[in-house]
Amino acid sequence: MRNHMLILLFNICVIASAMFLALTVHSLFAVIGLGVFLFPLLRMANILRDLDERERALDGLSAKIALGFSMTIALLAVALKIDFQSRDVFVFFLFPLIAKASIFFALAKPRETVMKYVGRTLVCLYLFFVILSHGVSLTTLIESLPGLGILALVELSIKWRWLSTAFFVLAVLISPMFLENVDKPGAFITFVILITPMLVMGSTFFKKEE
Amino acid sequence: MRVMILKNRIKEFRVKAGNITQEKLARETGVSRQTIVYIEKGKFNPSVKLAMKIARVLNCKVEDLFTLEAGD
Repeated sequence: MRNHMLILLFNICVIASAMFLALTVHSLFAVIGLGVFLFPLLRMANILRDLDERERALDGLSAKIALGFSMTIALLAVALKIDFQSRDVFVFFLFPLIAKASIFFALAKPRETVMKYVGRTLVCLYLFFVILSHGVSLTTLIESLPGLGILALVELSIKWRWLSTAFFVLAVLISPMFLENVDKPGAFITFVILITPMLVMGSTFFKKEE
Repeated sequence: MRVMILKNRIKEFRVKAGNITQEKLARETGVSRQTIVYIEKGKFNPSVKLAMKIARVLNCKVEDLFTLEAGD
């Protein structure tokens, strides 16, 4: 009963924060509020099943790890004296969610499932941001190409385990592009949001088959 | 203090119970197949409730399925 009350309070806080941010910063923050209903609705529709006890334990562990990462990122942002504008604060909502989901999948699910969900979500997120930035245009098409390349790599890595290490190489290759401008909020946000799932996907190379 | 480890004979009882697959056992106990794999390998200790569910599906006693032994 106490747990249900806490979850209810948490959900109300998230919805209130999302409404406030949607009204004051950007309407896209409403998506965070809708996110509260996403998992219960998927469970009601039998698309998603409830977590079992091992998964619940890993869910808690991944939340703690993600919190640690998020705090490190926040401290890094402070240390680099990044001048965040109010429209950039969504990163402090988005990063913990991405980190937590990626770490949970890496810990709880088989290698193929990690690649499928984390990889495809990363590409969808990338394409979403590209479309958001440029709308329907030729630039969107050109900027979508790296995303489609990553998608191809994800699909191939599902079949060939050794290909997952390419994500480490990719992370190393793209890092300098962002690190040059890491003191700018946009570059910093894109860097942390792109690199985290890539490192998680790379780490699946070490995951033993069950 | 001596470390105690939980050993199990789930695999053996699955075969005895008519070659029940990990997938079927997982479905009947309401957990994921990975959880059954981890329990069989001794990497995850199930709750009493789950241990009893597994024992019921495999038609045996919990004490037959799980034993507490002294570790290294």
